[in-house]
Amino acid sequence: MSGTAIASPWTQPVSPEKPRVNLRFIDWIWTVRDEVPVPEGLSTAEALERVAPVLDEPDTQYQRDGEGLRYTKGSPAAQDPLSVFEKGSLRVEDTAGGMVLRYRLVSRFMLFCFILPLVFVGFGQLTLAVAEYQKAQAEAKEKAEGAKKDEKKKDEPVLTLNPVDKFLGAPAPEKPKDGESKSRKRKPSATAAYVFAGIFAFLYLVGRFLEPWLVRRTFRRKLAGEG
Amino acid sequence: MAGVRVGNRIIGADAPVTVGWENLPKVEGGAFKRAFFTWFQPVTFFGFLLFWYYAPNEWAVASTGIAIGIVFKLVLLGLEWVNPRHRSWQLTWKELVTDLFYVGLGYTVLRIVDQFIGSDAIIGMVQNNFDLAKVAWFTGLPLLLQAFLISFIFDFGQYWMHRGMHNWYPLWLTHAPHHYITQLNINKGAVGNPVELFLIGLGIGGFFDFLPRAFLLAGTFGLAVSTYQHINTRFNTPRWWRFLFNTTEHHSVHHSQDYEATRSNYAGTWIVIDRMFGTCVDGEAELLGMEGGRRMHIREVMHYPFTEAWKTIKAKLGRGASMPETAVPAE
Repeated sequence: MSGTAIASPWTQPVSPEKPRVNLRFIDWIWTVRDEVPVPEGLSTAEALERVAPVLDEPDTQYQRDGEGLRYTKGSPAAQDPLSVFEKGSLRVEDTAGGMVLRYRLVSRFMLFCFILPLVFVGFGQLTLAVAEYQKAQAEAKEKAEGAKKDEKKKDEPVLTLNPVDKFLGAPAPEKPKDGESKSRKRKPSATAAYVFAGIFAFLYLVGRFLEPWLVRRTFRRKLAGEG
Repeated sequence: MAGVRVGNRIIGADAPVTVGWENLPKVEGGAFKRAFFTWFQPVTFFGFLLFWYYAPNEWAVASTGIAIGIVFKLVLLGLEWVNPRHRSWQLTWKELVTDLFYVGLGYTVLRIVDQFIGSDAIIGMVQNNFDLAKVAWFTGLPLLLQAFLISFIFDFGQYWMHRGMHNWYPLWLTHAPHHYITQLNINKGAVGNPVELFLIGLGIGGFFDFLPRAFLLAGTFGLAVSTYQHINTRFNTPRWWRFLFNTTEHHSVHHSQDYEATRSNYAGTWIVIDRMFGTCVDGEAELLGMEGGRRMHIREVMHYPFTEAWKTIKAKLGRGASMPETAVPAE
């Protein structure tokens, strides 16, 4: 691997015991580090044998690496149990409390979700900027046209109800009140963008807890020989 | 794989497709569950129609429609959870975030673009230059007839736009990313390249602001029929419904990995339009997508039409003759 490739957090080898020093305060955003106890009596090779089928998914490459496994995924399938984590390494280690499967998983998608609220706040700001621009354009146009506009102004047609609908009791349409037609034009609003920013912030929190919990459950089940 | 002959075509030769309503599974479970998933669709459909027909004028506004739409989609997400059509289409956290990202684009960036060159610009032109008194003959028709005509004519246009996307390479490039979805869920209709979402969005959205009740009634066909295209829920859909309206079964055939099957069921709401033009295939499929079910990254969805167009142009000009063609036309 070349020196320039190492500079990227995505191309650097994932190692469970050696997090990148300069990113350690923020890489929890896209990185999961955890461990699962290995059932007593299971050797390292047997433990890895039991976990390996989780990686038997389309577009997934993995390799045994001493007492561990490393994997990368290109475009994981939607139902792949590790679809959120495109890269990771697992290692069986002997600790004071017994054997554990220690792992470090990396998720670009989680980082994407983390950034989304900012992106949508940006979209909100863009909407407001465009609205300001349009308002200025409309005012300039209004000034230029001046009195001409008053002549062109025409009454809005009054909608009438068909006799069938009258008979069935549908409410009759109302004539718009003075000045209402102007206010009925859709005003650009950043609300939708801010709502989505909030949704993605919430979803990030959900995913940051849910996905590691699901992975932990999967590994625990596999090690126990279930499913 | 042998496939099944439907008209002049063999459906299911490349990938499994179940053809014929009689071959599809029914809702399983207790009497309440079976009744619920048999009556849910028609009851909500007629319920919405009645609501918009009789709602007081102060309720019959866009914001009510948006609120109903959001609540209804949340209910449908719940139904996907309770009674999934296929376990292999279960909504995951990643799929939900991905789908909502595209939904969010539709509510934000695409709205801005629409103001300049899309539906809002067209509507503004109509509002400023067209005398509504000239269409008084239409607005004087019974409300339900107006609603039917608005929905049907709009869907007729969408049918040909969609069919065009499957038969004309430049349009296909914008639509192809949508065919890389590998499962159906409520918000999957929004997944696709923004250029396609913009083309499809050249519809009635903006009309809501100045809009008569008939358009709100017409919106019911979109909400209570078209939404089911992408749902992962097993229903015992009534016979008359699946004859007239599009269903998730029809749409799963359209999204299947079988090439011939994808060239069917183009309508968004009125599947009867497909019946009129001989492109309807009744059935369902579970294995969806392209290239054997490869899931396309958001990044690739965004650049696909442009990079594929560039590759094609380069190949045609002879400089990239050895380059493999990755976008199969009209699939």
